[in-house]
Amino acid sequence: MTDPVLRVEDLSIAYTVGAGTFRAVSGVSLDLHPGKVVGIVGETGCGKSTLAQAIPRLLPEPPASIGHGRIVFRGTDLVQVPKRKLPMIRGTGIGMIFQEPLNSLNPAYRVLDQISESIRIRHYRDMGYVRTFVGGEVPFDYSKRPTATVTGSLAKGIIPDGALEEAARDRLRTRSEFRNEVLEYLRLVRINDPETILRLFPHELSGGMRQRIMIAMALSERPSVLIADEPTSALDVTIQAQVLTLMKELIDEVNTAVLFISHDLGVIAETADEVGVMYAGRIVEQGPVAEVFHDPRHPYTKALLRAAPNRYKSDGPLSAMAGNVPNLAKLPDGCAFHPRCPLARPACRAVVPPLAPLAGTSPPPDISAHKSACFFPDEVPGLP
Amino acid sequence: MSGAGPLLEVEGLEKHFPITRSLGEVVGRAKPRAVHAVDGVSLTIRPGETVGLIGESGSGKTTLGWLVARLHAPTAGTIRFGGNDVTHLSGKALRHWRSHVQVVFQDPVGSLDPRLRVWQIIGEPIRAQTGASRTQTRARVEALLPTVGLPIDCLDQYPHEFSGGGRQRLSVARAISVDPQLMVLDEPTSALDVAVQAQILNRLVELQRERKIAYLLITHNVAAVRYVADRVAVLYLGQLVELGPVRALLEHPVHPYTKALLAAVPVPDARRRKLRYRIQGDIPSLVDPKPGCRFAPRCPFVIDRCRVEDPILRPAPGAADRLVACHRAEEVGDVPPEALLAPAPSALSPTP
Amino acid sequence: MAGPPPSIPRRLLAGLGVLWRVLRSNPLSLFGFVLIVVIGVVALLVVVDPPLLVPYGPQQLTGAYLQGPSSKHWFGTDANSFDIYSNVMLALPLDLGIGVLVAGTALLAGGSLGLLAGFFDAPRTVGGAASVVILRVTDVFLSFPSLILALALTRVLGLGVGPTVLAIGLTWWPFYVRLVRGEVLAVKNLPYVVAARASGVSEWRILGRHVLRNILEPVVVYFTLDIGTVLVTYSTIGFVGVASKYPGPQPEWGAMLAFYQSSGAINAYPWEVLAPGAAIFVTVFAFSLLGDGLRDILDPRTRRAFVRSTTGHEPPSEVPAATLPSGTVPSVGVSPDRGATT
Repeated sequence: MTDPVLRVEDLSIAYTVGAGTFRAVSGVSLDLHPGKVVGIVGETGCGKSTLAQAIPRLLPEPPASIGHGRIVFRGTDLVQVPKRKLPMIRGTGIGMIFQEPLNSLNPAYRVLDQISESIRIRHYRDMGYVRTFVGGEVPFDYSKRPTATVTGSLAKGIIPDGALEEAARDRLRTRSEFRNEVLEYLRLVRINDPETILRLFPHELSGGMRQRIMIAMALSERPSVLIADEPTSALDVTIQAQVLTLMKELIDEVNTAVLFISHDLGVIAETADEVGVMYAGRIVEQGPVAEVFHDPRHPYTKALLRAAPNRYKSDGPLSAMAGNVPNLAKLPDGCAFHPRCPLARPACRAVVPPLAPLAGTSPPPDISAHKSACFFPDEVPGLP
Repeated sequence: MSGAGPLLEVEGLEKHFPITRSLGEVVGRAKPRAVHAVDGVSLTIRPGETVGLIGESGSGKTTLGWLVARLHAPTAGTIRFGGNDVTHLSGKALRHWRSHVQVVFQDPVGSLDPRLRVWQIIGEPIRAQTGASRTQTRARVEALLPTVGLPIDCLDQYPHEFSGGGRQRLSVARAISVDPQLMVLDEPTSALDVAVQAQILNRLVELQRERKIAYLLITHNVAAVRYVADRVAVLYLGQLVELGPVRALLEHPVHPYTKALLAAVPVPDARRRKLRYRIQGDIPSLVDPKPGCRFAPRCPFVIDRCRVEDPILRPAPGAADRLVACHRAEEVGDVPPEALLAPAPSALSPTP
Repeated sequence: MAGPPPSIPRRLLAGLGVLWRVLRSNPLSLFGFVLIVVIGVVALLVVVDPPLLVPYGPQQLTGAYLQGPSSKHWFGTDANSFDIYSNVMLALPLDLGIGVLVAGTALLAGGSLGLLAGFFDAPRTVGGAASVVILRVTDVFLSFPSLILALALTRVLGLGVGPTVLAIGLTWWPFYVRLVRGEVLAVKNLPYVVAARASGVSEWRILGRHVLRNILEPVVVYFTLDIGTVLVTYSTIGFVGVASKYPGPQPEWGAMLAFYQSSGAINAYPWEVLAPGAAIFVTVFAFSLLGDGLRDILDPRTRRAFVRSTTGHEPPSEVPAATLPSGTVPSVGVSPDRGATT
């Protein structure tokens, strides 16, 4: 067991819009460990994107507000950071990859400038030119040495080599040094012809290429935590497979902790080690991905898995979940899923079931035990 | 319209979008270039049948759907509907013909006019085709709402008051309002969550059973095609690469691209994970494509012949009802899609 | 809810109700709206029955020279002993009328041309050719600065209100061609327009029902703000001194400003310039506020939210999407899907 790089404890977030309060995230707890991928899966409006943006405090506050809970990253509770000091936690080791790479890249800058900007910010911070809120030692965040594909400057930063850091501290880097580092990162994300790509603008790149650039940018900050919010949802399926393959390889290489948000159960199954299933702002089931998907213990997880069309027309209709995702401003009492749940009983309407570990599971190290927020987890396998 | 013959016959359909030449190119007398969005597609749809058209972005699937619905004018080729050539219909005749072919668009937000109420949106084809009065239209829309699973008291609501699934139901209601014989479903569920997608797909299949509508289902979603389609056509860079009955094609794909596509679909089954995708390269540009098979640059089975000679769509080896456009169909036909996935090096994959 | 469509008077009434609710919830817009109504009524009264609101004639000697504001002379008097308040009031119908007339004509003329140029712009068609001609002519006119053209025209046509209005009008409509064409281009290939075409709706009906209706909001809002701009431009030309003569039988704010600014000592008699200046400011400001209010009223998304939240049926069905991360709160308050199980 290692200590988590980032720990989310009982986090609740609400949006206040007009007359309504939308409880987007309620009581979510997560541990992110180096080299482990935690997947969050859920339908539109379950709060997964809010969670992703809340961790690096990127949510617009207001309308969003963090009700209670802690986000502990490198010894600092990010929830406690006052708003005016938020810029000081940027670039300190939480990288983000967004869904739409075209919107996330500045159309006015070439690839070179996009990536060197994030390198520059990290560099200045490492050298102490920019104040940072997050304390502790200089982020040495890859706990595992990279493989041969990661070379040169990247490796230099990974080895906590005091002498090298001292030398770097003495001067600002030149443009060509930044350029070389950008090239390193482009090679890292398996771009064959980085010299050419450097000079291109985002709109001249294909979707898959843009997402690689986004990944390169995120990694160039040398994050100890990487948050990927639907990183492949805008891509074609063959390109998605390529990018997912790349991400899996990179996660193994750089050994960063990853929070992977997706609506696609298949993508989560391919990438994650641990999965949290979100419904109406809560994690309703959590655990090792193979266990959760193979033996779901929450009726919502089961229904979600069964709704994926996996049969032919002649085999009869798809099993569709009844009803709708609830209104986050008017959540039903008790378990939010009870109006759609085949197992619902009076208790479910009165009390919110806690996310409790199931008996008799022994998770692998650094992965949450199989937990379910259902009063009747043992009846779930019997559901159709 | 005859019941026995095909409902829709498309032959050698092409759509090239010319690219505006830059000043330099005009001065330099460069040849005008064009995006070959659809490049010689032939396809038939029988009454009441669903043809699924799978392809990725840039495959020309949406362009093909729009051509079939006559929302684009084809560059070449013919479209016959119920035995009549409709390729060059225009004006009133075209508008009238549109009652036979309706379209459900991908974007359930954008395809509904935000300033119209539900009854006006769904009633639009009714009014355009029959000239019904406002009261008649409203009554017909009211009768239509339950068939798509919407409550009748939403007649006066605006589209933004609906969820994604509700909006797509509106789109479907609009399309079936004039009893079409063919519906072009352009990515009908790609913007929806999986649970809502299942509801809509079920509804579409039921509607087809009740009303005997033929569907052209355009999608990148293999799972949706599997459930709704009777036959599947696979489109790559504007050309059909494979065509056949849904079960046969999805379970035993012959064309390397179909294999690559099926292998790339992530499955919510953690036991199959930690496999790595071996197809490299991006989807190439459609601007003035080079001769030869268009999948050749990414194909793991490529030989020299593929780079020079266009493969033609021919009966697949051993299956008369299937067509495939691959020079090496006989040799690679039996390779399973999983062969395009490689297990991760074991040292790097901590197995849970 | 179900049943025959609501009759036209009922819809009008409902529309007024919505208008009131939107305005009530947005005090600034309400203020602008009330201000415009007041200004309009006052302008009308000044034209219909001047003595009611205007105590003195434009060049009536009051005998009071350079007096500050008082109960007798609300905005004071000038060196000629003219009553400034009366002059400001007498200028109101002219300035307001010019603003509405020029912007309105420009909207109708330029807007129609822009609509056609934007919608029928397919190359190698009659419409396409016409649209190219419209746009080139527009560009030619756009390249003339109003002020220079007005000065040139007054050399030809003589000084006065007419030539100035003509000059502004000639340079004003091209903006609307550009604005409306841009909006049409943005809307005309949206999926719902294609969807209407696929339903068999005729092109002219698409133009009126889908395109026009959806570009109305930005155009009307722009028009409202533009009335103010015309007013300021006219006043500027008046300030240069070619539009209206002041003092004269028909006062005008710009000319008044110019006259007092050049003749008087602003420090000693500030009310002279303050009064016409404030008149311009208040009118332009009122139109700006109104423009903002109209934006809310014309958009069914905000409109509906107001209806719902004020009648207490349901919470606002639309959380302003821009304030939330994508996909955070989507199907809130949505009833139509309930029971929609298949």
